[in-house]
Amino acid sequence: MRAHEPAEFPPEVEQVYRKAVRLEWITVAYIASAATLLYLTMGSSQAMRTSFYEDVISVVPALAFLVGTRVARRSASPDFPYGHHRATSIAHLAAALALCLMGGWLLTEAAMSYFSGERATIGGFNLFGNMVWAGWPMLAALVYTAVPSVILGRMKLKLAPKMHDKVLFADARMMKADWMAESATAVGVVGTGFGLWWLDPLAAALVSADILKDGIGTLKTAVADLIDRRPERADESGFEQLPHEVERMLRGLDWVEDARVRMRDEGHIFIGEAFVMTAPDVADLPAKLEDASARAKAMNWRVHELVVMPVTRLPDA
Amino acid sequence: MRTAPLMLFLCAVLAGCGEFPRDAESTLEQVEAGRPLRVGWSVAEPWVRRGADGGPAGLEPDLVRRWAAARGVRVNWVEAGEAQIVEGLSDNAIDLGLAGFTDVAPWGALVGQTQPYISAKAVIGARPGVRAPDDWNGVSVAYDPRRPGLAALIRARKAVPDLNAPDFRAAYEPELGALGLVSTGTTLATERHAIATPPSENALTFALDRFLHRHRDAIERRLGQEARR
Repeated sequence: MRAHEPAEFPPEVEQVYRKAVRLEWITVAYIASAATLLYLTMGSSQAMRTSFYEDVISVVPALAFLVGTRVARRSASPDFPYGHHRATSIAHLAAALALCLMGGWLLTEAAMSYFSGERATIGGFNLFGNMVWAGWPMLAALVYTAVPSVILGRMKLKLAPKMHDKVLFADARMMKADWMAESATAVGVVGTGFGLWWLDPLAAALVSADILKDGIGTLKTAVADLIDRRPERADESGFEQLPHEVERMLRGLDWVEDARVRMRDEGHIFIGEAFVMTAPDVADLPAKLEDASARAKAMNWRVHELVVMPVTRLPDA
Repeated sequence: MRTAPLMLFLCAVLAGCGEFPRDAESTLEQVEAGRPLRVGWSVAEPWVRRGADGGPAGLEPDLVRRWAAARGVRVNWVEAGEAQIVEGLSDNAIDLGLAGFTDVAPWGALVGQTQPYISAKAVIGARPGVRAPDDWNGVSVAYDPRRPGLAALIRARKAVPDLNAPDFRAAYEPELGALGLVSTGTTLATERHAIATPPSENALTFALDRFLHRHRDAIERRLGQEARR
């Protein structure tokens, strides 16, 4: 019935989306190169090894965004009458799980290496025929991997609110997790060089606890969205006011006595119902209901579909 | 990225002080000040073998002797099993471990180790004039009985380890000349050998790394001489 419904975004947001896609492809390419570099310089340092696996996990939100949003843009079909918008929610969940996995795993690794008596040794490294302290190329590799994470993370944080994309936001958090973990590793490498081997697991533990906290926050939002909680802002800074605004608009219509709106977050867009108590003897009700739905959709591109239902009694909130 | 300038500053400071990297337990400092270097050794032919006097001989003990002499360090040799050596290193009860360790040893970060001082190719050599088969399946290949690891490598190729095989012999590539063999072009394995150190003794490990790196050509020649025994 809505097979001709346009894709996910209006034209101005579509541009932001294109930018985000480019950014995510750059992220994937860059993480792949960083993982390769780390793999090649990886010594016995605990932190260096975890950095490598961490890179592998950190590519998940970027891939989830690319796949999820692509699927979400498919139009509705007889088999998928509500469209594919929820693919974004699934991508969000995947990104949240990747963050949790990363934090939890790094924390476990740090604790296990500490309690099993492992201590990193950083000796020499053959750099183009010269024997240099292996810490230097490690630090260089870490800077190479951390700096782009900072830049990419910032750029994603700027785009995420514009297209109301929680996956992009989760990915920005992953970028932050990335560079924070790299910094912890760098502290560990320098600490080891000073003979303070315990700095390596300690820094890793502190940072991984922070990543885990971020991951649990994201996971909570992702799960709540799938349970159709009222829509929350992409940056988790509070609830969206859009349902209230639509409600207010409906109440302002002269043929509406009272109205109640409920919406669920389908990724970028909202789908919901409006229950309206109408004045008695409204003429031409079907046309008025359709008009109300159209007005709501005109308020914001995120109101994707609003079924306006005349009732004699409003449902409980 | 508030940490970046901090790190750069830290690096600059570090580059400024001479004693870097440092040992967690000051092993290098102590042995250079006169405490003997406790070296655990375990026979692992051809890297470590028992000399005529019953003491350690071969490639790795010679390397440690030369390094210690250059640094004016006395050496106490401790014969022990490989597991004991690993435990001793992990507890800082010994200072170096020689047992034919490679970079794929399963000890993780319980011990440290130097960079690989040699990348030794175990190959199959042939008597001059003998043609190497296309397929080693069922072919008899000789090996030195003191190196049981080679028998396993031969078997992995579906060839038959046979101490008296006349035509083919497994050995490390630098040994072929001394054994009067020519390469068949078949590589059984590439082993990257290292000397084990206590964990986080970074100065000690780095000092050895620099020494081993300077002598890497001599080490390869030295492996060739092992075959002449």
